[in-house]
Amino acid sequence: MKEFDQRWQTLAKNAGRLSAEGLPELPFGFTARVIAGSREVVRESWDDLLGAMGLRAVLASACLCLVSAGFAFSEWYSFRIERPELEQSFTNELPWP
Amino acid sequence: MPDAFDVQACIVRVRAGDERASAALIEHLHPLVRRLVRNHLPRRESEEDLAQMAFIKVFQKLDSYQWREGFPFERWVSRLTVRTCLDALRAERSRPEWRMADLGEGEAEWMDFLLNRQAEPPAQSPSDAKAIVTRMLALLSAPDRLVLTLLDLEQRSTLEISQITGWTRAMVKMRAMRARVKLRQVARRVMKTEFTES
Repeated sequence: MKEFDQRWQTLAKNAGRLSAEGLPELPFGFTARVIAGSREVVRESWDDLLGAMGLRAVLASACLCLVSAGFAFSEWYSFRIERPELEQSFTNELPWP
Repeated sequence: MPDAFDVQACIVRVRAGDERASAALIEHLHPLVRRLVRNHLPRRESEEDLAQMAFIKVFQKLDSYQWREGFPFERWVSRLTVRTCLDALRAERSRPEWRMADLGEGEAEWMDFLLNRQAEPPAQSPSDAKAIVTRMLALLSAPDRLVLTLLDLEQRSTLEISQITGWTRAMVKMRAMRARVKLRQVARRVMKTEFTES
């Protein structure tokens, strides 16, 4: 299939020659339409927001969330282990009525 | 010799609300945006409409642009334009199926060359080559199409593609490799349908 890749490159190079030729002039009224369009109120979509933040930032914050959730869980778990001992010591110290 | 266009000075004036500077900036960027849009145009989208959409995004986000060494304004515009095209390509729901019988004479010759049934590339106009490339790429997913267009059609380096798309270089290489595999599968499918038809 290496030959296919070489043939594809030849085809793409020929096709690329067209993209460089014959670009049209600036259409009539184009500038006015762009300026008017850019003045409309923009509402950032989630896609734009994620794009602006960058995928890496999102991944980093997700990792931080996981780590903090891990810490919270280990705290809660160790508290659960210690609890029966506390209860035992208290009940032992209680005087009989 | 005409004076070089001072982009940074023009941006300052555009930010201050100068409409003549906006018009000058559009005129300066039009060939760049138009070329990118032409190469990444979805099937049913108008080239002019998509270019207009890209320009509107450029102006709406102009305040967030900051000059950086090695990252000129034109590259920032290219990135926004490519992202606009990628969104439009993703929005394109159906991928057109086509057969060898649908092709014109010049297109069929290029397809024969691609499928190794003709030794020499045909001496046809580049428009036939472009038509075949567009047909083949339209069968791929939007990111695959984007990476192959930038790499093979526009002959950009992986570094440039990484700067335009925001993907890492490793990601660009990986996507290009996968896209090429899919392209081969597409060609094989076209060949197979031709044999089952005949």
